[in-house]
Amino acid sequence: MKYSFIAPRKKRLISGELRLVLFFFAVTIAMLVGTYVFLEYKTYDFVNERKNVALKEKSIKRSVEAMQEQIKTIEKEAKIVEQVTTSNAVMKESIRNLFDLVPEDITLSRAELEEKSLILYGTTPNKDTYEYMLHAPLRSIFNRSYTSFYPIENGWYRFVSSNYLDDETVEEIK
Amino acid sequence: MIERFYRKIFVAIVQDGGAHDVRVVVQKQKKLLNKESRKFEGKSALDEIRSYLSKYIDESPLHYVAVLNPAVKQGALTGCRNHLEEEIEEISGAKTLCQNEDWLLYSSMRELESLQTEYKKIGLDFIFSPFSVLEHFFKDKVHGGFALYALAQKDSFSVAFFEDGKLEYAHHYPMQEKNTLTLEDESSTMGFAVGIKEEDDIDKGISLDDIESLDDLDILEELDDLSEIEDLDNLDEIVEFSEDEPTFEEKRIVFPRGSEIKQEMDMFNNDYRRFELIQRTLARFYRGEHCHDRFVETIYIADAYGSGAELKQYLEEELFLNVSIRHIDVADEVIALAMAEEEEL
Repeated sequence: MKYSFIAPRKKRLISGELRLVLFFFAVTIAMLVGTYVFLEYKTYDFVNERKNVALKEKSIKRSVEAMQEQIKTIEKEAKIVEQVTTSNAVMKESIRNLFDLVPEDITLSRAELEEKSLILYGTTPNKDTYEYMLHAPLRSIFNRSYTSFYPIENGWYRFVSSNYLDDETVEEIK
Repeated sequence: MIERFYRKIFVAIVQDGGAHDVRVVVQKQKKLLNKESRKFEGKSALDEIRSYLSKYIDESPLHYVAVLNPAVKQGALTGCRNHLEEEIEEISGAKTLCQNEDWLLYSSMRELESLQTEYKKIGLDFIFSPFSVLEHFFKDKVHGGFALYALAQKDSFSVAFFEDGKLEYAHHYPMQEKNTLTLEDESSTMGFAVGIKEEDDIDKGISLDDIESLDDLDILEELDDLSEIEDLDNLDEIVEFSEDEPTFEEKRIVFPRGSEIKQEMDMFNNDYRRFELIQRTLARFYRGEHCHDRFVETIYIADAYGSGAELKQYLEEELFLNVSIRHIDVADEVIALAMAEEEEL
């Protein structure tokens, strides 16, 4: 209920001097709070940045590890390539030597060259030609040599020459 | 929130009998810390009040200065709207305050402004109507049955009829005028009431036979002016007033000092004057539209002046009313109203 004919005057709870003091306090507090907030933000930012850097470091480490793995693989592959090239060169040399071994009278129809064996299929005008011209050099190379002859219609012989090296010899060659 | 740190200072200024009764109540968190009263008189009273209050006002910004409205043109009406033509005429140019959507307080805008100007140096926060004080003082009674309530001050006499907390009729009588005015003069110059037409014969319509004999006593008008001591010599006329009362001569023997006699006579005159005003108000009410065949049986008087036993006696013997007189400290009531008002803010 309202009893009074007039409204009361507005009460100023804070005087001019006090207001000024409060203003300065407020400004100081605002500045402190601002500084605190700024530093907090910077700390947060720094922590974030550190986290990112750590993550980056981890990822770089991982990629370095992967690259090292790749390098290892490549090195292995390079070794293999070298081995293959060497073995190919050896093979090529062996094949060339083989063909050098074969005299003109003997015709080879098939040759199976493996690490420890050489199996030759061909035709020879006679067994002697084979014996002196081909078998002798083969025997000097391989440890064991077996030949089978099959006469054919024109009087020649089809032969299958199986030549084997022993493990020790292979080790020595290597 | 900051309010908790300040003391609340309530100041009540009650202007009565040419003096300013100033009451200061200091509170902190609704706990009474200090209460002081002082009376100021004379032309420089307001300046003295200002310098007296300055120590309190400077102490806390939460200070509230409340005054009891001393305006001549003020009153209260039943209902907040739909008033009679005379009522509308009276409240034009007046500030109104609706109470509980039931009744209306009003006071002349001009007088309120002049009061604010008068107290400009001190500053005013609340101006309360005597009817608010009356209602607040008798809050345990006004919500009861139909009864008449009066606030008796030196400078004014406020009469109101309440029923179930609702004001039915009210009249405010300023009494600054000299008591030498005749009854006929008073009806035209004193008092401020609306809604009921004044009639020259105030006894018309009162069913109580004995009242007429009292009103017919012209000698009482002469007795009003006690400054004229030579009237006291006219003992024959005074004897006619009441056989039971001691004569002035007898009184002079008992109280040889003139000031005491004057004081005694003042009391007597004031009591009789208030009796007349109550009688007049009752007559107006019974004649008016607000009566609705109701009859006043009880009257509660808030006495701020020290009304004597004579008033009670008159009312009981002449008007057959049940009379209850309670002493009121108006300043305390004004403080209480200011506190209630402040809580509403």
